[in-house]
Amino acid sequence: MAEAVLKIKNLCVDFLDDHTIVPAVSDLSIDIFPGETVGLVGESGCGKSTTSLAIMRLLDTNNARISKGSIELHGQDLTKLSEKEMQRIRGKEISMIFQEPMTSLNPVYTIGRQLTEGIVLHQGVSQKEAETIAIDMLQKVDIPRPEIMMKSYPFELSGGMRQRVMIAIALSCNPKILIADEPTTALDVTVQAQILDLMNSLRDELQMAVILITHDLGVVAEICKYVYVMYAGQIVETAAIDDLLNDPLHPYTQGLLNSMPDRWQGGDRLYNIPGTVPLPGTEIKGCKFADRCEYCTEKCRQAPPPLVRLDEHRSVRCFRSAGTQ
Amino acid sequence: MNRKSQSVYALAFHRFMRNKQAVLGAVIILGLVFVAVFAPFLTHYDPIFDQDYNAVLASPSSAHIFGTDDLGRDTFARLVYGARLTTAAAVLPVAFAFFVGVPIGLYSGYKGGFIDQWIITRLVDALQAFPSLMLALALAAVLGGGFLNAMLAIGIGFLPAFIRITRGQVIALKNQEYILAARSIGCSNLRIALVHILPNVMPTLLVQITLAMATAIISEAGLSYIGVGASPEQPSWGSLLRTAQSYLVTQPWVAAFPGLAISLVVLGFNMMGDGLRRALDPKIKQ
Repeated sequence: MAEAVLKIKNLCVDFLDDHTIVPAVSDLSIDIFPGETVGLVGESGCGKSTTSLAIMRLLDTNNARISKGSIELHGQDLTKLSEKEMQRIRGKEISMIFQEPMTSLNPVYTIGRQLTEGIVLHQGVSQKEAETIAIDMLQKVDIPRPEIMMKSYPFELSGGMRQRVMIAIALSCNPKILIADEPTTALDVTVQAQILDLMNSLRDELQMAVILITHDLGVVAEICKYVYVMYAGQIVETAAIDDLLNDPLHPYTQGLLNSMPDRWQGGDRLYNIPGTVPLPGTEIKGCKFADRCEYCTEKCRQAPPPLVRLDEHRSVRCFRSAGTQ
Repeated sequence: MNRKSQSVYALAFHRFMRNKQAVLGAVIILGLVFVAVFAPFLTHYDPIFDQDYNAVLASPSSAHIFGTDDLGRDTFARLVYGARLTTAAAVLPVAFAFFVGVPIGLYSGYKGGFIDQWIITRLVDALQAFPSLMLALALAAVLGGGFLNAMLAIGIGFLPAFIRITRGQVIALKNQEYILAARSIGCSNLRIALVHILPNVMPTLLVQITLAMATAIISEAGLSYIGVGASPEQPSWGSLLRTAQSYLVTQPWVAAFPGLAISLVVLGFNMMGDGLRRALDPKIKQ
């Protein structure tokens, strides 16, 4: 197997709230290989976006910090780089697209201006050359009449078009890794499918690794090879996508799958996992999911379950599944 | 998509041009600038040295259409040349407040933390606690009188507004997704502040600039009126009023024309500022 482009090892992120330290992500390890899409799944407040911002080193330094662990890009630890060095990595090696295409473009500049900015910044080419590359990128993301698009302002475009532009911006310097933070959540389903298709084909074409952050298991099923399920800042289950969908081991994963509306069986009330994600900072002695888990036992409340590796691509953080196998 | 793409400013310009009141304001201000630039062509009197002792405090006539003052100087000439000082009074303090206040506001809002909350904001609060005319007077007392010092004093009085407005806007904007997006493609902090945030603050600042100019003209007139601004021989509209005060009952026209001029120009700036606010406000769409 090829070598991982990005190795996240035991990553811990803390939020600093006045004088208390609140762990937001704890002990997270993920390996990402070129040409692969991995999914990071969980409810709101699980630490998915925090993880992505930590990889980009874009956490607000006034109230968040990486307290432990390493993020290695081709063997280089990003957590040890200076802000200046990170600026050379961002956009060039690792790029990001965001949830809200309506607000992620600067309203006062044309699409062309925003698209060429990163290219000029990272590739040291002239504005003219950058424009040629930019038009090329717009074609790659299937935007019709890119020359006209270059002169348009964001408010003239639809959400789907803007997200295509965002993808074009993110990919304009051929990054090795693309972090997509809920890229399709704000789009309607048909556009969502188009964008996912586009991301799939561009990933294959450019051989990049994609980290897809979402709460939508439907989206994960479309494009991910491996899935990491996060709960309260921890990974609770990792698996290849088919295994996860067919045989979810962690009760939380099962709950997430059960919460999805069924196409064939209508009429019933939708399942939902009782309770909510514990607020970051709540002291929990045992398993963080215990309060919401239907299989919770005395043991689960005593000590936190470890993340147990079942086979090469499968681990789970639950006494129940780990113990029986 | 076939129509020509237009920038925020092009759209705002169209909206502005459709607002009759705003256009009238702009015309008044252009008129002021025109008079200031072409002053020597509008009158053949010198505003300081042409003193006609045979026509002291003369009422308006064909020789002196706005009458003369207590030294027999032509009021029209003094008003016309005074437009230069008034234009300077509108521009200089605001330019000072803009070029000093906006960078401080940008830094403070973008950086946040201790310097922002405990030093800059507190200093601004302290500065704001002084009534602006008192502040100007105190500064004039320290720096000495004179037109330029008055301008500086008024400019310092405007600092809090410019710092606050910029800081507030930056704080609101810096958490926008497009700023995060700009950081995610590798922009430096300086670049983000100047290239990505500042242009988005400019519409608000533009409105503030116009309205501050109106206030600046009034402040300058006020300072000259009480005698710490322009020196008495300089034809500032404020010093014209000061001279006129003694003759308010017997020769009211001496005060009327400079008073009218000040009111008209301030009204012009206010109408234009209001028009700009309407034109640039993204919430007002048509």
